[in-house]
Amino acid sequence: MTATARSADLLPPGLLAGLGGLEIVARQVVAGFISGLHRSPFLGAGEEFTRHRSYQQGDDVRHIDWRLFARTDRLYVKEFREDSNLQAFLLLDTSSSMGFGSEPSKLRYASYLAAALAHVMLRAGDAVGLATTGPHGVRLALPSRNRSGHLHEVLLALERLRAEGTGSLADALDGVGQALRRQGRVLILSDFLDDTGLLDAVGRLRARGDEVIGFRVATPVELGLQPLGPARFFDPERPGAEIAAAPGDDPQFRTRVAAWYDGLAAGFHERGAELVPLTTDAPIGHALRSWLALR
Amino acid sequence: MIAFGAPGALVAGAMLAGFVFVLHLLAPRPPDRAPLPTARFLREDARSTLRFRRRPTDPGVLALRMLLALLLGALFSAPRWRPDREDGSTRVVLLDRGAGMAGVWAEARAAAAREAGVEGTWIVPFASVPGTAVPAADTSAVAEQGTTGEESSYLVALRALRGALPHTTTRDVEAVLITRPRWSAWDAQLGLLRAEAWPGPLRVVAVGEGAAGGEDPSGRTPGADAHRTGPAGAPGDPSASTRGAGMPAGARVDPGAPAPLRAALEVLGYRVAESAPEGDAPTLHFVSVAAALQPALDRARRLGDTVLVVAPAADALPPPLNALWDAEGWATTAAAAAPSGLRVGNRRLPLHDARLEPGRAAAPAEGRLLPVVRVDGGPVAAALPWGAGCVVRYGAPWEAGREDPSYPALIRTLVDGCRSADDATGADAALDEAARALLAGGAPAPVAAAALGPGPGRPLEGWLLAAALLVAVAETVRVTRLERGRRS
Repeated sequence: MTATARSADLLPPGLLAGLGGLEIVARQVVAGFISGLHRSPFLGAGEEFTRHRSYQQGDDVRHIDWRLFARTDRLYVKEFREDSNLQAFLLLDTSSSMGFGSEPSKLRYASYLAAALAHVMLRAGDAVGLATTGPHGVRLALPSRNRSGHLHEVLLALERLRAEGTGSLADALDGVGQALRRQGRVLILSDFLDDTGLLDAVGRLRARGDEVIGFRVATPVELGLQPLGPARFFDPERPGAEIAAAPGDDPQFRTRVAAWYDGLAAGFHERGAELVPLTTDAPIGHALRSWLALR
Repeated sequence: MIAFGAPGALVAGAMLAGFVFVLHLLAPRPPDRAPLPTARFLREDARSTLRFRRRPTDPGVLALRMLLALLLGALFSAPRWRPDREDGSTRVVLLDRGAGMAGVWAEARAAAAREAGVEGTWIVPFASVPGTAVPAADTSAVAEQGTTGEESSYLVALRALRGALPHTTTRDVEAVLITRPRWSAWDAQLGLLRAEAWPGPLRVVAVGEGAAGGEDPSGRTPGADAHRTGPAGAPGDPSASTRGAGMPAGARVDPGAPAPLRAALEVLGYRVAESAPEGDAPTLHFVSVAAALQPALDRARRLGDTVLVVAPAADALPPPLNALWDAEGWATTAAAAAPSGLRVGNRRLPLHDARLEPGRAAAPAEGRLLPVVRVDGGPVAAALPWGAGCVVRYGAPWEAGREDPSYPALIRTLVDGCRSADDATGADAALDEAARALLAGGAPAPVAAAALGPGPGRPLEGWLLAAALLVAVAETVRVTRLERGRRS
C-alpha cells in the first residue's frame, strides 16, 4: 500500500462524515491575518459589529456612527469582531511508550486523532503544523500552513511516525512555542506519562496567550480497565526496572493511575489549559464530537 | 488398513508423550516479561511470584513435543499401508532347479510355461535355497538359467512359497510345484514342518515320470526285490537293494577280490562264489584279474550278466571298454573321489577316506554311463551296456569308505550297473504315494493369503519421518520466539 493510500486510511470516510459541520472555535482570541472563523485578539474592522465606543483622535471617520450622533449629539465609533486565521500545531508524542497497545497502538490512535483535527482546522481556514517529540527537544515535521494539499502532507507525515526512543514533552512544547509566530493553538497528543516540567511548559505557552489542549491517549490495560495476568512488567522507556505483579489482582492499580491523571488534569486546568482523556477503545469521532459539544 | 510391524513402538511412543507431559507439568516456567508503560503504578506481589513458579509451560510447545514423541513411536513401529486384497486367486509356481531336474529340464520348462499362462502368476525357482519370485512374463528367463548342480529341497520350496506372498494382491493363492518327485529332495524335517511351512495344498506337476532308469510313476517302495537271495535287510529297509527284475541273483567273486568286498556282497544278499557260474541265470561278476575278464565279458554279452571291473584288471579291458570315458578323464592311478564324497545318482554319499584322492572332472564317452561320480563331476565308475549285460568299471579302492554308513549304497549302485545310471547325474528313487500325499497336502483349494503373511504394502516411514522433522522445526521455532519475547 502506498503512503498516499495509507494516508487516506487515516481519515476513513465514516470519521469524516461524523465530523462534518464541526468547527473548532477558539476559546481565546488568536491573532491572524486571514479572516476566518475565530476571534482575533485584536478587535477592528470586521464583518460583525460588536459595540460602540467614544471617538478618539485618530479613529477612522468611516466608522463613526452618524445615526447615534444624531440622537445623542456625541461622536461614537463602531467596533467589529474580526476573525482571523488560527496558527495551530499538532504536537505528537512519539516516545517508545506510545507504541504500546495493539489494534491500534497509542501512536496510531493519536495519529488518527491528529488527522481528524487537522482536517477540521484546515477546513476552517486555520494553518496547521505538525511537530513530534525528539531526543533533542521538538522535531518540527511540518510548518504551520494552510494551502492546497497541506492536509495530504500532514497525513503523509503522520503515516511515517514511529514510536521509538525517549523525548521530553516539556522541551517539545517550548520548541513549538518558539515556532509559533503569533498566538496560536497547541494540541498535544500524548500519554503524558513523562510529566517532567510539563506543567511549567504549559504555563509558559498560556502566558503567551496560546491555547493549549492536551489529548491524553491511553489503553484500557494501562488504566487498569482490563485485567492483566501476572508477569514481570517493565516500562518500555525504563527497561531496566522490572516488577513482578498481577494487575488484575490489584484493585488499587486502577485508582493509582486515575489519581495520577486527575492530578495532571488539575494542573492543566489551573493554567487555563484543557486535558481531554481518551482511551484507544473509544471511537475517535465519537470522542471528538463529545468533547467539541462541550465547548 | 495400516499394519504395524512393531506395534510395541507405538506403546513406547505413547509412554514417551505421557512422560513429556508430566515433565512439562513439573518443570518450573519463568514468568512472562511484559511491557506496561504504567508499570510504575504497580506494586510488587509476593503471591504472584509464587504463582509464576508453578505455571505450566507454553501449551503450544507441549503439544508439539508430545506430537513429536507420538510420531517417533509410529515411525519405529514399521507401519505399512496395506490396501485390501482383491477378489480372486493368484497362482505361485515353484520350479525345481535342482540337479535331479537336469534330464527333464525341457519338460519342466514346458510345464512352467503352461502354468504361467494364467494372468498374475508368479514363478519361484528353487534348489537348495529359494530363488527370487518373478512374474510370469519372465518365465523364459528363469527357464534359460537351467538347473543348478545343487540338490533341491521341498522344505525350501514351501518356505519360498510363503516368501512370495508379498508379491500377490489377491485374497487367495494357489500353489503349484513343478518337480521330479524324488527322495533326494525330501527334507527329513518335511514331515513335521509341512503344515507350518505351507498350510495349504500344493498341486504337484510331476515331470520325468517313466524316464530311463525304470522309475515307476506309482512309486517304488524301497526294499522290493524279488530276486535277492540270502540275508537281507527287512522289507522297506532303504538300505536294501532296489534291484528290479533281471538283476543277477548270484555273485561270482574273483579269488583275488578283497575280503571286505565279499563281506559287503553277502550283507547285501548276494550268494558269493569263486567258481564259474552255472546255468544261464544272470550273474554279477567281480573281476580284478585279467584272466577272468574275457569269460565274464562273454557271459555278459550273451546272458545279461553284470561285470564289475576293478584295477588292475581294468587295464586289460578291450576296446571300447578300455575307454569308458575319454582318455583325459581317467587317471592312470585309481580314480578317486574327493574327500567330500561321491555322488551316486542324485544322492550324495559323504565318504571320507584318506585314500580317496582328488581327480579331474570329465564327461562320459559317448554311450557311457556314470553311476558314480565325484561331487565335482569327476568319474569314479563308468558303465556301458555290453550286449544283454553291462560292464562297470570302478576306479576307487574297494576299501575306501568301507566303514562309512553310505558304503552299502555305493555297492548297491555299482552292482545295479547300467540300470542305476540313466544319465550323468543318475536316477533317484521316486517318492512313494505317502510322501507325495504329504507333499501335496490335502484337497486342492486356494489358500487365504492374508492369513499367511503380509501382503504388498507401502512403507510409511518416509512420511512419518518428514512429519516428525516438520514438528521438530516448528517446536524449535516456537521455543525460540518465546525466548526472544521473554528476553525482550
